[in-house]
Amino acid sequence: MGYNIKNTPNIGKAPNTTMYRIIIFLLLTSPLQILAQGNGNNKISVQANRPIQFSYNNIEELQQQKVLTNALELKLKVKEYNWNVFASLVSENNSFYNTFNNKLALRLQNYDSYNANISRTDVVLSQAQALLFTQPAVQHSQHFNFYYDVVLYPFTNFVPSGQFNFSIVFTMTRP
Amino acid sequence: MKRILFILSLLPLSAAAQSNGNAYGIGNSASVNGSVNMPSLMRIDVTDHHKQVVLNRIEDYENGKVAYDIASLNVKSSRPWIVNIMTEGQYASPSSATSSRTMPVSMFSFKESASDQFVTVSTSARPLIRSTNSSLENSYTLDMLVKPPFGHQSGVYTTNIIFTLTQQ
Repeated sequence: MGYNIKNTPNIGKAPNTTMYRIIIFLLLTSPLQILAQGNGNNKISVQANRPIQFSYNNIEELQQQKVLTNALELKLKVKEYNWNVFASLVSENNSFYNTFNNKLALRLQNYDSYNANISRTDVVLSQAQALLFTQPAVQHSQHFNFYYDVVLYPFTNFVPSGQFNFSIVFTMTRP
Repeated sequence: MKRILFILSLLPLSAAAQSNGNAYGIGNSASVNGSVNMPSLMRIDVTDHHKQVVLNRIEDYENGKVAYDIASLNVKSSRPWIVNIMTEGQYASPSSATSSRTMPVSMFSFKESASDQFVTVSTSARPLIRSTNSSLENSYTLDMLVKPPFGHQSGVYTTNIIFTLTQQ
């Protein structure tokens, strides 16, 4: 009939072969996933010390700068390498960028790094990554803190109404 | 085989430990969420320059008389807008008992100084100025045309002019 009855016991081994391949694949790719999160000696994290929320009660407020003082605490753990730290805006609402690109900014309040190359001028935020500072390599693993105000500049033109949600994304990359 | 599965079960925990050490994430990138609540906002301010228009020639009645820069408007709006104009009542208020009580408010017309078109006032709102740019704040001066109908007593007549600001 064309069937080889002696081979039927091998059918049960086929899933094991597939499973081994999956296991090997996962073993190979899992370290990559971990590396994508950053290595243990060089990490960035951010904490909001107060809600990053702006609201307006009258038109005069639109014509004035709004500042959330000491709103963000950026924590950097570094050891090897120099690191550039960037910030950018991300929103699911595309109209957000038309209104708020270059209207939101980060203003340095304080920091404890002894060798960071950092500017005191406001860093204006947009979709594009803006350089906040460069943290040079240090001898031993160290944590540094950077405190920022979040600033919303005055408006001079019409503004669409609504609720606009956004994220400020911080990334550390090697120069 | 069991050893391999055990190792596999640990790997996701290891990856999670890299990313969840902080509520906002630890790694080569991190983020915070924010929001802007933007309502529609507008405001109008009117400054009365307290000018009195005197009609003392027959030509003033025939052609009307224009009082320039009689008031100024300051408009602030976050959206495109219209300034409407209207009066409370159908007739202007006489200052004395001998004056006419039926002097129509339609003897008053207004325009923005840069415009050529006067808008006659009535008890219903009529568009006077529309936003022509996207600026948050604009200022205007107003001219007033007074052209009373014949057949009324002479006297001093006043009326309240109401300016309303609405979204386009």
